[in-house]
Amino acid sequence: MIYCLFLIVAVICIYTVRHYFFTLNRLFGFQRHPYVDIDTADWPNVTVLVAAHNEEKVITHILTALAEVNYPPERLLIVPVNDRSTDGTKQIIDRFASEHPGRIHAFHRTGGKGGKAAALRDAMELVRTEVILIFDADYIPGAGLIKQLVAPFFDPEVGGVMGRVVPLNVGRNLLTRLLDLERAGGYQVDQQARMNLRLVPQHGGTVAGVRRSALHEIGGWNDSSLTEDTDLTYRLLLAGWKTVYQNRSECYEEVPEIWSVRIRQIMRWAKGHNQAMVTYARRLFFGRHRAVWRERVDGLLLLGVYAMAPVTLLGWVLALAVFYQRQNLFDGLLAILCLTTYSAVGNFAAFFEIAAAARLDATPIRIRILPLLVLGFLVSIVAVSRAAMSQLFAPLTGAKFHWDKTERFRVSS
Amino acid sequence: MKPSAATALLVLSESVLLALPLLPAIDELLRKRDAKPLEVIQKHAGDITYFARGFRSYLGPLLERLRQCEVTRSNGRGRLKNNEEYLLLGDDRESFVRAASLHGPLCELLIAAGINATLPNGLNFVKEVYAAKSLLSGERNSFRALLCDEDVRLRQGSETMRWAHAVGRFRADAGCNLYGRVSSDREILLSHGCTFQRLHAPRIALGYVPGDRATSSGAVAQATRPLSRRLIDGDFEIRPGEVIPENLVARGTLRIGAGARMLGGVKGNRSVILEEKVVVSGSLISSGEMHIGHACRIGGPLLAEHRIEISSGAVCGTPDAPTTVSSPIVNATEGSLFHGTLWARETGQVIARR
Repeated sequence: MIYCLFLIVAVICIYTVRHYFFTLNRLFGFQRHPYVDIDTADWPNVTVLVAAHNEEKVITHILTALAEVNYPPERLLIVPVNDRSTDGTKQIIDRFASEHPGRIHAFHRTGGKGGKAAALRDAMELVRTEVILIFDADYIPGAGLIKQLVAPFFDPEVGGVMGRVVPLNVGRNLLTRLLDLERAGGYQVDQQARMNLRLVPQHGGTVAGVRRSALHEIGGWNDSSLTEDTDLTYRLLLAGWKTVYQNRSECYEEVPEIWSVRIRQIMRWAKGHNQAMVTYARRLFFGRHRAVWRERVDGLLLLGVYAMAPVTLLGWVLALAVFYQRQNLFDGLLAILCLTTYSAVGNFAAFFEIAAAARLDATPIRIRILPLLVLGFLVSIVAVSRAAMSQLFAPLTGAKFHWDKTERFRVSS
Repeated sequence: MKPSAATALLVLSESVLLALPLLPAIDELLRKRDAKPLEVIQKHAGDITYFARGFRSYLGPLLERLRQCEVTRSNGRGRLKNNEEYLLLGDDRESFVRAASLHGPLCELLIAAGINATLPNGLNFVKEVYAAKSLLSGERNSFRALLCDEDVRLRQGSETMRWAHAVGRFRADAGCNLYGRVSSDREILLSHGCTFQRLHAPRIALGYVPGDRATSSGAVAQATRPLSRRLIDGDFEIRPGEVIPENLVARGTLRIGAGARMLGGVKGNRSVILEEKVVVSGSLISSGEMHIGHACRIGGPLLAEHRIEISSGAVCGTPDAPTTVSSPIVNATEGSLFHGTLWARETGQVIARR
């Protein structure tokens, strides 16, 4: 038992070091934004896919925003992908398509497999361009965002691009404020540090882009994955394509405003991520492919982030069990030492990361909320552990692929 | 003290100790002083003429009076609503020093000139300068910001501190320092010894560039359909005169021999070295340093994460398809030509031709 605990603490220490390394890199290291200066170019043709399943509350905003972007209009095709919506999404999309003929082309999907990846896969029949951008329907892109996301594709090594997600409905309640901090840490520090260190920035599947030839080479969208973005990240990596992160390509999104929606969202992410871990971890680390060693290590750690929640819970349980066993005083004290060391230093690493993000964003007041993030942390650790357990026992319970759509809270216009 | 009271006191004091670190959080949660979305959507940050356009609208109330000064060949003074003092120049007979009542090198007036303006040497303009006609600076002039509706010529050793925009041609003599943004709707000409950061114009010529024969877009025409990608682990060298009909990525240093022709984009994850007369139709990207040889032509964006050295005769972009050249450090030799944006994040320098 004690050795199992040692192993858990060792793994947690690795993640702790990783958090600190990323944060210190972001604060003091060389910052890479290699494509952000491309403001003049012979811009390529682009297709923007907007995934929409029952999005009548939000779809108007993104289509309005996309119709106003400063990209050469003759080189931009916007394709709202209406995925089996049963609300007014279809009517809104059709109205926009008729108001912007040639620029907005509606794609209506009435049947088939559920999930975003399946919808995007079907919509590919309309895509003729080499550069594809993807947005979820609750996002609101700024005027210059399309050019910023297209710019990295001038690099022939780039297969995928990811921009920064910024919550719009921050002030609604405690949850939205906590999610705002989490997003800041995740993008401003985590993703940018990976970009700086030439590791594996994660494709987020929205505010994102993919090269069509790269997508074709890796077999297209994987509609059996719950997180097609994570899946895409690893398949691109294995095929020698880079995913790059553009921290200055920011886009507003709507974050969940109630805990039950948040829990469902993070459970889906955890399941999808774990699914990718099982599929790619071994191949990534030991396989013969084009990823270099640092990408293999970082990619492996990234695959394991959601598995760390149940591992941490298990560590706490084991630490207490070892302590109360009282077989060996040294073992018990060591277990408590491990636990307290992790609690004092390990847990703090993520908070340090978020605090650094707030500093980089020049938001010194909102960082006061940081201690309350413990609440979000506890909810997440339980939800993610539940997701992992349900996956573990899925063969016994007979659970099948199920896509949970994230509920929207915006008042429709 | 009774045991129950002691227990209650202990619990209370512990609760207070526990709650103390949370007080700022709860205070912020209730008062919502910083509960707005981050202001991060930069609609205009990439537009090089953003400040120039802003200044033009700021000048709006003065323009009619400036025209009157021009017609009556008189100068005028006044203050804007924010109490900023301005000088309107419409009299080309009076010297600038006298019109501005200067007693030293410092000019603290906002200047709007309706005449062809010629400035004396050694002046430091701490407010913006607007010229409705052409502007010829003195030597060693320093401008905070400059907007000109015709041609601008900065004489030797002058500098712009924040931005400058010319509707006509923008020319800087030897040794000028152009900090911030400089743009022209027509052409930017820089002499040797000039330093720069961000330049944008349909044509940016460093030193003397003979004619435009080298800039025909046909020479660097890009493929009309996506090209396949060739990925090479380690260093790679392309033989002189070779034609590569695909995108090329080298994980190490990439050297392209003289006269080679690359029909797609090219990337080297370390240094990229182009010998003379190489043609790259697509983009040219280096994760390290880049050396562009004599008379090379690059069609697409040109990026180097550390430094670019550009030899004379090199041409980047075309009049029909302008592009971006960007690196923290750009050293470009006289005789090189750019169409679009030339951006040195830290320092750009025009090197004298040997």
